[in-house]
Amino acid sequence: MKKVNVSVKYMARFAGKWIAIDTIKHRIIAVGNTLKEIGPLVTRTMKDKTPDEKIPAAFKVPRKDEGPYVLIL
Amino acid sequence: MKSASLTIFPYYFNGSDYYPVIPLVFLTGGKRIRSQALVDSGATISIFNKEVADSLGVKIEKGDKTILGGVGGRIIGYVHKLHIRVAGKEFICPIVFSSEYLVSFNLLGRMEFFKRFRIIFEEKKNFLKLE
Repeated sequence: MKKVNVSVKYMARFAGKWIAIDTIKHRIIAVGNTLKEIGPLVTRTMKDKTPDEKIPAAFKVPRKDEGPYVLIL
Repeated sequence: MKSASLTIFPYYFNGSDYYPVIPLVFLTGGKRIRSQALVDSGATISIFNKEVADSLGVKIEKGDKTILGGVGGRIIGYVHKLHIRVAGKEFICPIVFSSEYLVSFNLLGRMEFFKRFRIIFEEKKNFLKLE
């Protein structure tokens, strides 16, 4: 995992990677090859009182060759 | 009369397209795990990939087996019922996990999730509202 501080506007730089996003500041704060790598940043115990919005959120940036999508089930 | 609360989520831009992706929290195994998923009105049910199942400690094949049909063909998945929280609302949501689902986006589909909110896609302005 690598710590970064990049606006979500530039998430295309991390295509194919898992990123942790500060959803208040709209900043990418970490990048990893797997969800497991960034797992500690996006996980809290139930006892932890951190508000949901202050927990970074995991997201896998689509590869550039993945879209366009027609996602139906 | 109590007014409905409104939450706004800007679309994500991946360099070529904008996507309605929103955060959610899984409440499972004594943990809170915050993830994100694409809101997909074309999906009957929510679907997440194996990597997310592993991080949640979900044993995929312990769910109810289902066959999912889409443009790309059919895949096998397993339905699990998980506690999630979205925009402050907590509920049990049926979610399919599949090792055969290889798209980067995890999807929040209609079943249960769409019943909980009034969902507005502001395509011209690139944001989504949950009410």
